[in-house]
Amino acid sequence: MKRNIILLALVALIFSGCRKEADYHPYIGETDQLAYDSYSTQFEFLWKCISTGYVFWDVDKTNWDVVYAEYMPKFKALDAKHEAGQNVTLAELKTLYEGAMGGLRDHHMNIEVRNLFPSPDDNASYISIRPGMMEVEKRDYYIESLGNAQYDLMVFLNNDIDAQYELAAHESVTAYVDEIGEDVTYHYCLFTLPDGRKIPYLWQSMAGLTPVMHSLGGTDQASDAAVIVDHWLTAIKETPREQLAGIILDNRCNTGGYQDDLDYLIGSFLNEKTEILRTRYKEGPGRLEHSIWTPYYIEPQSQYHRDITAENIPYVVITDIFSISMGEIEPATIKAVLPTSYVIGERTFGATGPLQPTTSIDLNYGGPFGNISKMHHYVYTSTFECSIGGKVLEGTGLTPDQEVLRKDHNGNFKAQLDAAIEYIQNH
Amino acid sequence: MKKNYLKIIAVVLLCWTAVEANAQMNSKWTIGVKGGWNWTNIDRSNMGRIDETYSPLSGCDFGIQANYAFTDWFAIRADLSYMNRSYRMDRNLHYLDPVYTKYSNDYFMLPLMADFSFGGERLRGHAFCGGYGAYWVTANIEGKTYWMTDYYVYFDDFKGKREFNSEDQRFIAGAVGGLGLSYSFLGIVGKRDVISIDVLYYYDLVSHHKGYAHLSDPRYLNTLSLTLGLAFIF
Repeated sequence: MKRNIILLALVALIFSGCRKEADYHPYIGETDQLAYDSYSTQFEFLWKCISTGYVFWDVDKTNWDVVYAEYMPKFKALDAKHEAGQNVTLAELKTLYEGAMGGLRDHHMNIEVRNLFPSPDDNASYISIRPGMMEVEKRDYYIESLGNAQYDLMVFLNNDIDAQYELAAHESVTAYVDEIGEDVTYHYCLFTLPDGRKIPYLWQSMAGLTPVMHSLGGTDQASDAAVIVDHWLTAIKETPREQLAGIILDNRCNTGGYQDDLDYLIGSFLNEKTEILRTRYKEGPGRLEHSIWTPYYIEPQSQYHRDITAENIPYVVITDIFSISMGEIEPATIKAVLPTSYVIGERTFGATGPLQPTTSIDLNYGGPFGNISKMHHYVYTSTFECSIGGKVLEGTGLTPDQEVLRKDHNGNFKAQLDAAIEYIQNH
Repeated sequence: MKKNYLKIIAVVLLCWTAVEANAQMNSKWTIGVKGGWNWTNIDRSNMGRIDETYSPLSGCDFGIQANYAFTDWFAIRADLSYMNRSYRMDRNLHYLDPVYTKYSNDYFMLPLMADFSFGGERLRGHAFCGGYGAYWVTANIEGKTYWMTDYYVYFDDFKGKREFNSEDQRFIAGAVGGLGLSYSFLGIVGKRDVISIDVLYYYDLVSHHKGYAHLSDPRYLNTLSLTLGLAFIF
């Protein structure tokens, strides 16, 4: 008996040494504390952090192991060049990182890498790789961003005597919002059709309704913006049905913002709690180790509530190639949830993964990491993978119900608005 | 459905082999059934994680066993069992401490063990040592997950089947060892019938997560199984 037990113990000891140890990889939240001593270790850290924390491996067909095999020797060659006393320039680094990481699908992604051993030939201190922008610029309908030209649209509309509609009201404001830390611009219009019906229209430079509306009734700059938003929502709520032709939300050049804005843009038109999207985060270092899809529900909002579905009121959202992040999640969720919605314009940017700040890396094990101002890298990347209507739109964007391309209209941004108003007129 | 057919065919083949062999070798074969409980935990690194704790959960296992005796103190034993190997993960950082997942994994286990026995004619002690192959049949998960917006954190309960993906290693192998106690008496079914109690420890040696060439993070299950058996010596 004793001999058998000793034998079993020996066998157990032998077998315990048969298990493989995990490769070393730092906790992703610590990587901004780590210093590198070579270009290849810098690349390896970034490669590993993206391997473990990137949320899109299920839809991103990049072969990350092939990237390692192909580019690690090239970064080692940079090390050898540096050790030989030659300068490694930012341009060389940029070429390598664009080749290695420029094909990733995350359209929020921005990979910033500092040159460990700055060269006198460098005209900056770090490079920035934006895979999403690299892809978008190759689309056949790509055209320069409207940016603040949207303001010109409003001036144009005020003077467009040939238009098939009139402007019953027009308010614009650009206000600094403390809670956001930047300017937000809104244009509110109340179009009047020849038959006298009204169309409340809102253009928003970003998705910042929630923080802006916190200032409603206040005295700060943001309160001016809140008043405009309030006018739009109130017009939707209070205009009698026979006088309300439809609603327009213009999300062109909307660069994204707050997820909670969906309470206003969807919750105001719901009668019951409704699932609008699903998200999941990285649950393990394996590339396909996600949490389960978590449904996100919107509750009906009473403040500006109107049952536009029951009243069959068309809700048109205008998009363009620069509708980014929440700027495209908004039309996608509106389209998925509200039956009278309709999306007109261009296929959107394709950056649909919600983000959290770097400080939340402890919680999510994914999302932005690093700090370019203190250390040698910063990677801005989605914290969550998002599915709307059962589809992951990352990298492709939302395809509108009706495509109207600015490129087909000599860059004219009014054609998309005309299409929206025409749709409402014919609804 | 195809998997169920395979399971049935495997069970029938093992039984048939045992019965056929018994006809040729007098009193060397013992076949029977077993069932019981187990406790499973997971060995894995904390690669990239700082607030996950893993704890064992209980499961059940049941199956058939066949034993071929070479001498009165040495035999070879093969089991075919369906084993639930479960464990739990809890988050404990900040306000995410409600988040947890129970992983419930069903395996087909096929251990092959040397059976060293000692003691009297009726009451005998056993020491087992061997290896096993296993197939990960199904995986289920249950727990609480979260999502956060800029202002709120939402929690959501979930329960359901976990789909396998290309990172899952479904065929695994490991080492098994343990102790047992058996008592035989005049047979009702066989020449003699045997009741037994076994404590076996299953120790995975193949990770159920495949990992990657430059980033391996193996995970191994350890299962302590306590089963009662009823076998028949023919």
